Amino acid sequence: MNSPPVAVTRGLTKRYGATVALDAVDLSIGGGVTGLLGPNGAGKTTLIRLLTTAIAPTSGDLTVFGLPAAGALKDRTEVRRHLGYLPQEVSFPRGMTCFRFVDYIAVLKEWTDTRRRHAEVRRVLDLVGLGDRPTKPIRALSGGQRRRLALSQSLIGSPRLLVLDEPTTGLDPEQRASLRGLLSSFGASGAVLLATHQTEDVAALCERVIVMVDGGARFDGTVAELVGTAAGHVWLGDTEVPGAIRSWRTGTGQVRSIGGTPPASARAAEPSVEDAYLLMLGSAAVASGVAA
Amino acid sequence: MTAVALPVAKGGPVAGGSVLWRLAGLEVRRYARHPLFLVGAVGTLAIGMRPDPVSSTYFNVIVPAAALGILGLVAMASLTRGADLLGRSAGAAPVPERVQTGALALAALLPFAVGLVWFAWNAYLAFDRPPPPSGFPFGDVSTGWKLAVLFGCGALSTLGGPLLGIVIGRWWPRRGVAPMLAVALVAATIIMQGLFEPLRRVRLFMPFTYFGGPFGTEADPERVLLFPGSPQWWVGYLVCLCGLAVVAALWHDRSARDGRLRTTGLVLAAAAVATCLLATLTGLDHTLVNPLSS
Repeated sequence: MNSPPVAVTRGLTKRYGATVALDAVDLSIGGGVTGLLGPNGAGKTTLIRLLTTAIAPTSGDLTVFGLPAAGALKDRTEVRRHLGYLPQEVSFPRGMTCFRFVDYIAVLKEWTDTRRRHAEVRRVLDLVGLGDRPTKPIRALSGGQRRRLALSQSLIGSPRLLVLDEPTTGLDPEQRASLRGLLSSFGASGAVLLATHQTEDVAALCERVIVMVDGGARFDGTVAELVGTAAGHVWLGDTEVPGAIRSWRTGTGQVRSIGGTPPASARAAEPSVEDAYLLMLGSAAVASGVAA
Repeated sequence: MTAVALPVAKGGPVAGGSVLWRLAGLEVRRYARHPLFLVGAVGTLAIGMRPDPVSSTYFNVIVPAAALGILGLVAMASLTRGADLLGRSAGAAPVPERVQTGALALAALLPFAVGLVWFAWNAYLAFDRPPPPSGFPFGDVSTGWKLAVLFGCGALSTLGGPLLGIVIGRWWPRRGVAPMLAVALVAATIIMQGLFEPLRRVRLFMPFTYFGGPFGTEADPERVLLFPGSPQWWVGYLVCLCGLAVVAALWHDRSARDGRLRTTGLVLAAAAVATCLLATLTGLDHTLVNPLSS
């Protein structure tokens, strides 16, 4: 977090008609792995699409690598040259192999020298564990392999900023652990923005976390600070805590409750990122008058 | 995957030729592998290259038009959808859609190359083994007329069909639209090919039509006719349509919509109207009936 920011937003707003998808967001994204948490519709994907210059903001300032990312086509193109982006959903054309898929996208990223491009394609396929099956048709890949193939294209050229929208969807635990290794290595030298619903990925990977709620950045700080917001609000007991935002019976038979007023029999539990996140969402819902 | 010491890219996207030509190379390869193109190319070379000494070698034009033009429309629409998916997969690539569209348009030169081979061979056949006096064409038609019929109906269809496929793939990318349009185009062509006398004048706005054939008379249903209009101007009209298709496909990319593209589109549209009118109003001014029974 000591490195200069790669992306800065000031009052960044995006409206779709009457709907405010992003509401005057001020953020600064620096080096390392930054987690972007939030429920569906919180504005995560809108923020990502703005950062990657896929859409233009309604108002506010957005600079990426010091360039106005919502400015002239020349600036947006320059920003894109240093970005790697994994969209939330990737559809593959029929009849393509792994190598040809990544090779084509490498050309879209201006890798026109064939020999160097092919070497780069092999490198990114190796990184995601698909180096041994470059000629395999995409249709023959499993869901997890397809997700890794989609990820590989975002790694072309070792971009300065890697933006990943739900990268671990469809991955088994071993693949997810491998991906964490990859992303942590990447974050050591560059910047990664990781949008996810998986709080355990944030806990395992991120130095910093941003929680988006209703189009705004509800929290921006370290993972420890996020967890700290739930200290004294998570309980273990025999019964559900009255007024708890969320409660469930754990495998040990005890009831874990987040929020609420604990009875004398309940004892405070060590909070997790998920507890803090759920508490934050619950508080936001209460604040906006929605039952949690 | 590795946990530490991540290998980084060696070098970077240093130009080794233009992106357009690299992409065009990849699109040509994708087109060459498309089953519909393979079927069309084999069909054209196997069926459309045979001389017909009984009536006319000129009737071979339907083979490349159907096999490389109509099937090419469907194949190219599919490839355009695929190119769009690839662009979306990258999410934020510096190369814009218009360059991809340009590469797809260049890939359309592959079926056109097969069409030109077909044209060269059939032009040779048409002059080396001319049709019988009762066949098509007959009478005093110029070499330019004959070549224009072969080139417009046969070879240009192999370019126009795939270019129309790019337009469909860009503007109506839903699966099934291209086959439906292909069927509609075939149906419209059947009506406008010259079967019906009242439509013979106006038929020349179609991208495929006939300039005559054994359409018959009341007395002789097999009698060969020559239709009105100028195939030379009609070829000019088709070239304008091909250019308009490229402009329409490029127009889909908002970043490509500049004054130059708009002007190009307007000039091509005006030229298309002018050449279509000239094709209709010049050349033969009425249907000619072959005096010899076929």
